[in-house]
Amino acid sequence: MEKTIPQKARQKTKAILEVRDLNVAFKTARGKAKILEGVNFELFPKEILALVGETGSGKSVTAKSILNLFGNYPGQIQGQVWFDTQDLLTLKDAQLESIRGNRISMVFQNPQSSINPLFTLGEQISRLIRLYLVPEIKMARQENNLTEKQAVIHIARQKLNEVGLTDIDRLLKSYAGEISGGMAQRYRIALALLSSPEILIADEATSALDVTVQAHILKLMKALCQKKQTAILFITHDLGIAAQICDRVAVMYAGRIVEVAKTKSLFENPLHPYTRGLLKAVPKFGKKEDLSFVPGMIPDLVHPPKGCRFHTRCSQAMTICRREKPRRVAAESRHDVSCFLYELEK
Amino acid sequence: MLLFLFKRFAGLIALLVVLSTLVFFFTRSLPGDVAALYVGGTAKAEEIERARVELGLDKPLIVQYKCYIQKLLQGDMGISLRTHRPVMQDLMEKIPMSMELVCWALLFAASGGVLLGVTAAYHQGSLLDEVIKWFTSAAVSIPIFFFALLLQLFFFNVLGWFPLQGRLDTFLEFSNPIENITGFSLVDTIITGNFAAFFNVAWHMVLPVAALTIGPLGIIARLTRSALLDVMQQDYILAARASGISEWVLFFYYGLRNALSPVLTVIGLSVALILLSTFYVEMIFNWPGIGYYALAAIMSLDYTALMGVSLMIGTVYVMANTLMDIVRRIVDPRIK
Amino acid sequence: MELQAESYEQMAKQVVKEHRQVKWFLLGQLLKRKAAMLSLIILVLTVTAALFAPWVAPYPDQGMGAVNISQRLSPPSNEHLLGTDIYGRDMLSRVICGARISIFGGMFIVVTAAFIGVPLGLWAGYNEGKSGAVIIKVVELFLSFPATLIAMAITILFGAGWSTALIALVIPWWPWYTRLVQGEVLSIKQMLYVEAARMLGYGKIYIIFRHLLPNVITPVIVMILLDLGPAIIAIGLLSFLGLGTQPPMADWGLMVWEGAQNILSEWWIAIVPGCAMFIVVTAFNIFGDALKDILTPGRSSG
Repeated sequence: MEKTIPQKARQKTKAILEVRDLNVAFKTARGKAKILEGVNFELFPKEILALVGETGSGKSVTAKSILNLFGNYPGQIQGQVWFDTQDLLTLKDAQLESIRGNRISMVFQNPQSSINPLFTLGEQISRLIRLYLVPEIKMARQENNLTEKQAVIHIARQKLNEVGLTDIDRLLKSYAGEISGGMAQRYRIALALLSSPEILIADEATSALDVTVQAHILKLMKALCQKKQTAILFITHDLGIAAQICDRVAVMYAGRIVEVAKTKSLFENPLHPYTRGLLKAVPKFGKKEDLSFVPGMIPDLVHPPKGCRFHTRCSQAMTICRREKPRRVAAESRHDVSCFLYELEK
Repeated sequence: MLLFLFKRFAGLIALLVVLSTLVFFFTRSLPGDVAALYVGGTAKAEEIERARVELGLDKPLIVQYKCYIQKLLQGDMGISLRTHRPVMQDLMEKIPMSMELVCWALLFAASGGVLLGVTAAYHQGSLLDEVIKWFTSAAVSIPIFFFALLLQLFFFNVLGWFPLQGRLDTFLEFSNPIENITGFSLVDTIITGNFAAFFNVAWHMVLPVAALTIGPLGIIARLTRSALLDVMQQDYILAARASGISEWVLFFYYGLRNALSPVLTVIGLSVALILLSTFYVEMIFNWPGIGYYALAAIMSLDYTALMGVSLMIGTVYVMANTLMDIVRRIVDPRIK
Repeated sequence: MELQAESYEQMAKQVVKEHRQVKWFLLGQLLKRKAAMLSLIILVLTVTAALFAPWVAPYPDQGMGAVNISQRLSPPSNEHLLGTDIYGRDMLSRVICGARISIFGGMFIVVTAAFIGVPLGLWAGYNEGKSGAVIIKVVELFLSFPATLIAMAITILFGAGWSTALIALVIPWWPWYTRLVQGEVLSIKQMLYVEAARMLGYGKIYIIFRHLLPNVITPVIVMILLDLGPAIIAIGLLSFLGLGTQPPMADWGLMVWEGAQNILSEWWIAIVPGCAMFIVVTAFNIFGDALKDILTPGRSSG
């Protein structure tokens, strides 16, 4: 197991975020659950990378590990998360706090429950504006001759306007319970993009919304991030969405990334048996064939299968799959896969 | 908010009417001849008869009830069968004595309980958390009367640090008697500059207050801990953490603020527990308050006094809950 | 239609089955908790002693109330391990006999309360019509007063005694179960499999027993366990005031009262039953807390 990545090799990639050999284990009532096992991927500037997988495949845990958001939760994180020459996992709380929300932001699945119910939306956005936009406040004060409080409200209005919210005066006085899910998610996006972060992590950010609202939010997120030159790590279980808006797709299964490729390449030529199964399960318009599915369920992560974690459900499993873990190999240009079918070919 | 206050107030009055009616018919069906109890054991038949007329017991029950409600509205609760004084007067005299204990106990239980709960939650899983858990488990499990006796045994009999019972040393009752102004002895002694009595009363109060504090302290601490830990697992805390709010602010500002509502509710409920506990604590520490009065009324089947005490406790209980509801509405915009 | 009915049955079965598996599995967890296991051992020992009191107690007749004036107020010794009371009765025997009233009395209160409260809660939760509303109003009325105070009032009215005291405590106790169950039912009712069953035309009674009851049983059991300690204390509170068990019967609360008169000289008379009460109640509380953590994880404990 590689413990450290040589600095030179890292710089060659130009990635702004590099996750290397990420292992996460949680203590559960039944024992240690190995949620992530050697997750590797990189995020390049301005790109949108989708992280797709079934429920329980470790997508959200990957996202939370990047900013180490587990709090006091009993568990271990190992590996490296390189961001701008620092390994985020080695940083102290105070250093991390200056990155969280400022340079790497996050949007979560349930917009309404992600907003503190006891404070007005105005109070919550003001707090963050005071935290991150000190120069902007100063500028607004000088330009428009405002008090500090007025300046903060002024900026809040601008930022909420940017995400397409209307009737902002009323909104600033509202509480989380009083607004719709779509509005809440727009508000959370405004908070997340407040300081024009380099990376936005969207953790199932549109899954809880109605389909029409979903489309609007996706469009908004993509447009804003392009404008602010923010890269997106887009976590979803919905392959359709991934296909629509992402540049590259990484497929996760049971705590490992099994395949990473350009979106087009992945959908036209899926390599990993799991990806193939997933794609067959997506209904296609105009084709009258039975929907197939990947048989079985995600394995128990307290006692994960030995070797390749997918071998228990894989129709093409070989003896070696039961014994050893496959490595990530570049099967085609910019199309990596972790499967012995391709490793042995080489 | 105004509508809510009005509704609560109307509800309070309705509850008091129901309560007083219940208490009336309830006490009238008590065993024993009330008139005979009033005049005492060795009275002659005509004396009992005279007492019956005097107390209005010769009239039909409905008339008695009407009379009772009329008088109640004027603040007249009848005459105690035991002390032969107006119950209202007795209550007015006893309530401040108990309130002194109750207020201190509530203050200590609330502040100490919240402090312990917050400490335990902040150090969740540590040895300190474990120690607090054991302490609070014991605190909620110990019967109040047993704890009061233990305190007496240990701090009076073994250590001799605190007095056994009473409110004021006997010699001070003669040399520095407490003038009755507000009825709260600590306040009265300060106003009159009677510091000898002030310190003596305070010294006498330590053990009863400690006895009253322990149960609610444990309950409040346990609830505070679990409410805080529950809040810290919410999505909005995770989202706030992801937006770079420091752990310290997360816990002590957001966490506490969001856990406040359930904590306030349980503090409101503690009032009832403490009031009930005064029955035992005042008896054991011979403290001349409402609990002692109530107990004496129970023992001697003093129905007018019982009626008064029940009405008073019911009122205080309902009022404490109403007050807590109002405070909760202020701190929590979700309650609409 | 047939297919639907089948899949609905499977769905319901699956839910119940998963619950069961998880529970059995988690009960193994209990073995890992030292405090809870210690509590369980203490409880098993006391309950056994209480069950077989006439055989376990060194002086069973004194435990039941026979006086032994020659030995009165003797401190703990080899003959009387925990000393004797003012009538010369062996304290150890009294405490063991007293365990019957305190522990079995406590069990009687909470189990009876649950038997009254749970069906009413199921009914009130499932029928949101008039009958349900009436039940809820009654429950709210009871819950707006301290339970012990209501019980005291009832014992004063109907005369003190241990059977009156137990019934007097059941009366303000059952509404807690009704409220708990009603709340649970309101949320389970929304579940897909219950709605499916309703749409397929299954009767009220069938749905209540088949789907609602199995789902509320766990929180009810947890509440029963957590209520045992408070119930034992409540009995003690009444007995201590002379409103519960009457002498010469043994009851921990009453014994503490008897001992309170001589607390400074013959301390053991009050301390022994008091400690017994404290230990048993603590054990019930710790055990109940642990089971609550295991059976209903994620719910905050109060």
